Amino acid sequence: MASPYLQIKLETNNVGNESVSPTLSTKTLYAPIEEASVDFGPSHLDRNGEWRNNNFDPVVPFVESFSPTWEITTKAYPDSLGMFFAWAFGTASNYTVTQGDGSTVKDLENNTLPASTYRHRWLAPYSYGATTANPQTAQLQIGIPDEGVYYKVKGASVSKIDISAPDSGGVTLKISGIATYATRQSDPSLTPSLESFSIKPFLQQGLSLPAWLSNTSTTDGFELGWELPVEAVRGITSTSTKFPSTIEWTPTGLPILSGSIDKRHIDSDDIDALNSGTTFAARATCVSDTLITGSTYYRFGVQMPNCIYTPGGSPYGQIQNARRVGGSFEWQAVSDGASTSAYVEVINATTSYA
Amino acid sequence: MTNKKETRYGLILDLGGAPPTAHVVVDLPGIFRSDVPRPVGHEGELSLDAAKHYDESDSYHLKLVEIDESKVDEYHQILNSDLKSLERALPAARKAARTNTALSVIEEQSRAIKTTKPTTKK
Repeated sequence: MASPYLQIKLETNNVGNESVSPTLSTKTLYAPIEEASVDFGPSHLDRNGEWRNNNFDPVVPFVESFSPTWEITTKAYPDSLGMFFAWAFGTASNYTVTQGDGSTVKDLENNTLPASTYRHRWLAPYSYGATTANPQTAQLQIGIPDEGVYYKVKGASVSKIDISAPDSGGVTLKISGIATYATRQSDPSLTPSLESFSIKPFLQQGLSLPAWLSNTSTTDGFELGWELPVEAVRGITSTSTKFPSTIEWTPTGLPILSGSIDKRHIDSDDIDALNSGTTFAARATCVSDTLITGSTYYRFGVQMPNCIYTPGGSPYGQIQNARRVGGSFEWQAVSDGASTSAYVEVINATTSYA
Repeated sequence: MTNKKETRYGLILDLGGAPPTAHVVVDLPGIFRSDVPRPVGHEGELSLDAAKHYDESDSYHLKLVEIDESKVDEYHQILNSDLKSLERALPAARKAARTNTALSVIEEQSRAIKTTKPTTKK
């Protein structure tokens, strides 16, 4: 019995499509994911309305176009999390990787990072991919050896990341997006290489909120995620195709970092901040159980110089005859025009994702 | 009379951008790293012929390199330490498998320790 595998490589100089195979990144990840799905998105051309003397019987359609989509569910592991962020946020700009030096290089918590550790940092509004018009895209190869089925996906772009931190089961990512091309291929004869189990995933137990609204109530749950404004483009190019030709940023969309936070008690400070549109500095950090080196653990975090509660959730409380009435708030990272809306950081042992 | 010094070889993980941590290659015994070669060709190690096959095959992200004989023991110690860490991690993974990790993934990781004897030279 062989488990399926997913190989991810970033497309570096072009957005891949049916006829274009870009140069791929040196960085190759066999992601220890839990679930994946690929939908080629075939669309039929319906000819039922044509006068074909078919006596009101549906006539055979044919595949007119494809709109591939994909989805991945995985625990958050230190190396693969960095790769997923590099895929979603790009590395051409607003990305830095800095090796620890034991003195000046620090993480978001101001901890000094030793040599052998690397700080990967992305700044909103993040980077582009092949050109400034395109987000970062990737090539995926999915193998299901036991079924003898193998897929290749090109021009895969991330449109959504959801990170949840349940009480058990580890911090989980659900990543989904669109692509320009998907196909079934013959066995590419790949042998996956995965980090050993001794590198553990991030856990909710390692999650903390070192900065949030002053006097906020006790936090019971925290989730965050990104929506990235990408769209598949069907151009009329030099090659005819039923697939999209490229992936571009939408004309006016913005990359949004938002989430929800559950409070054990409804609290006037939280409610007043929502009602007043108060912004506050926020930081969420998750430290792993696994050491990179010395006494430095793998970690990731987001820092939001300006965070704001937004409408939604149940912020005013689900009021019952109970000892405790809690609430939940929706939040979003925003920019004050002078600074970025978010810093995203992963501290691990990977040299670079660029 | 001159003593011809034997050339020692090792397999190194050649997976692009891999961090310098223990990796399991599906269906192969033992641990592989991008920063520490795994000595091959001697008793208790992978055979040199097998290592050459893995190096030449496009399927495996492994590369055969010459290694310094004086560092062989050090390499064995590092890789055996990684194996022990994996052994400790597997019970927790099996326990979690009731709700989470696919059993086939656990089988692949546990195969790495079952089919390799400790390689530390004494």
